[in-house]
Amino acid sequence: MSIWSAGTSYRGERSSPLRADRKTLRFRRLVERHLELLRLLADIEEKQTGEYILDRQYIEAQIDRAYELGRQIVYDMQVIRDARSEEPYVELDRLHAASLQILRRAEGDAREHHGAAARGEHAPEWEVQALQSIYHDLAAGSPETPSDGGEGFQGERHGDRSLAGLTAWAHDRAGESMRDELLSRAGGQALDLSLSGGTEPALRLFLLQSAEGARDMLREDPARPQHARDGPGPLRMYHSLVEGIGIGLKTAGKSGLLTLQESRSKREGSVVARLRPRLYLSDSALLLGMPSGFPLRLALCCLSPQESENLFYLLFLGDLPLQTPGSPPPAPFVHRRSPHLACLGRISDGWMFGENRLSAPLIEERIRVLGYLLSEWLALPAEELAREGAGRWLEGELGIFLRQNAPRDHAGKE
Amino acid sequence: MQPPVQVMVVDDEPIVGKRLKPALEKSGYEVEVHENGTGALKRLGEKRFDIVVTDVRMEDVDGIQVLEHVLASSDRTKVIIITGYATVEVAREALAKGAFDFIAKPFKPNDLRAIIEKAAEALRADRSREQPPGSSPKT
Repeated sequence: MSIWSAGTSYRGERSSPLRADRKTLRFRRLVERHLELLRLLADIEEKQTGEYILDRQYIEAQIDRAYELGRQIVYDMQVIRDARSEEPYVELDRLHAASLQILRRAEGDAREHHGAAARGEHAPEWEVQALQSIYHDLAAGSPETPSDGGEGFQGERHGDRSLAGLTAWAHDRAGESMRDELLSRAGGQALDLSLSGGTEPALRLFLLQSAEGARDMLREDPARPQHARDGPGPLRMYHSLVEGIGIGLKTAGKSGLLTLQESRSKREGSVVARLRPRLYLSDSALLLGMPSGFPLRLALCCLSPQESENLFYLLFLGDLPLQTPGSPPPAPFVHRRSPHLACLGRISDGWMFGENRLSAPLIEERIRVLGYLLSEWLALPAEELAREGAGRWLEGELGIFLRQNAPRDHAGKE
Repeated sequence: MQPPVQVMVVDDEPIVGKRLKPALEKSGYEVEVHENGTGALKRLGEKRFDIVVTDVRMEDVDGIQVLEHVLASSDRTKVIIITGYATVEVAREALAKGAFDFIAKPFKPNDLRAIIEKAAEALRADRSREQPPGSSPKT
């Protein structure tokens, strides 16, 4: 069975070109702001480790900018969806006030302790401690049981009550509304990449030992060690994932850098470029090798109206249920962090690399980070990555699988 | 043997001196910490320091005043400015007035130590230039 069978061409109702462009531009702005917010959160994540000397100004400036971006993202989402709701803003105000309260309280406590320090007692590093607490509210939040209402803002959100969770929710909602626009920009193709049961455990990714092991790992297991503490912080990794995908796409366009194979399928109407050995790219989809049983639908859409800039948006459609051969499908896997359901790769000549050159070590490093990020996404221990060897996770096994299963008119060539 | 480089750290946030003093002393510097500009200026009148590291924004006497005082009283003291997150423009002004360098918070202590080492190197180079030709370096 072919591992990818092109979905039917999608033709939705089109709004007027001018209105569609404005909506697209607003969505693009939302995506860029979300990315800026993620970078900001990643910066805070780094600074709250205690290695840095920092001051109140930094903390306050970061808080204010984070919530400013949050409000802009929510506003853009509501414009795109023609929605009008106060609830997200109320939540943002609550979170913002809570962050500032943490800062004030920590500063007050520090003044008390400083008096004690003059008497020889220890004065804690209040800035770092405050930042750690604030970061938790910004990025991690506290899981809560979703409301039973099922409607409206609170009912839609799952658990994560942090700023990161709220903005990811807004991003996803906007993305849903933009789906028609984005799919039409992708040339009307959304590829269904169904790696169905029957594919052998030999399709063993770097992330998973076996389908059974994968299923166990994907289940919420409180006894499972928190691997995120061992490696780079989750937000920094996520940000790197975004860049990593962008680099992969950029690399795909640079045929002189890596061996590039093209094969054309007349039947499917798509060009499948096998970028050995890392990523498999078609003109409308990016395949991130996933273990057997993951139905995964991707659409790659160009958002930029100008040729000089390439802003790609990857839509992950579907909730990635894991299906093992002979077993009933498990309950859909709900991602802890919805940003993973939609991520942005930005490719702009010179934007990332100045001279527009990619070195093999840089690609290697990015792919390694990509692996870490998928580990985080699937909530797997980092030692799995180390064991398999980052950077080789799409070689070998997936290559074998594709050769065995590729459609006849473009069987993989070495 | 060269005498140890004398460093004064001026910052009204106690954590700065608390983190920097041991880090710099480990590198062989002699360090004094002051948590207000007034006390720092008084001490500068009593003793000459090789390097002064000062926060730019303090309540009583700010870092620019410390810089101006130091430059007026000694041409052999290097001043390094610590800026807050939002005061980088002030740091540029300080450079124009004669500060050796600046560093913006948040920073790692090692980053500041590297700048202090550059300042110490510059001081040694200045001293070498001042020695009369043919004379041996003082030990």
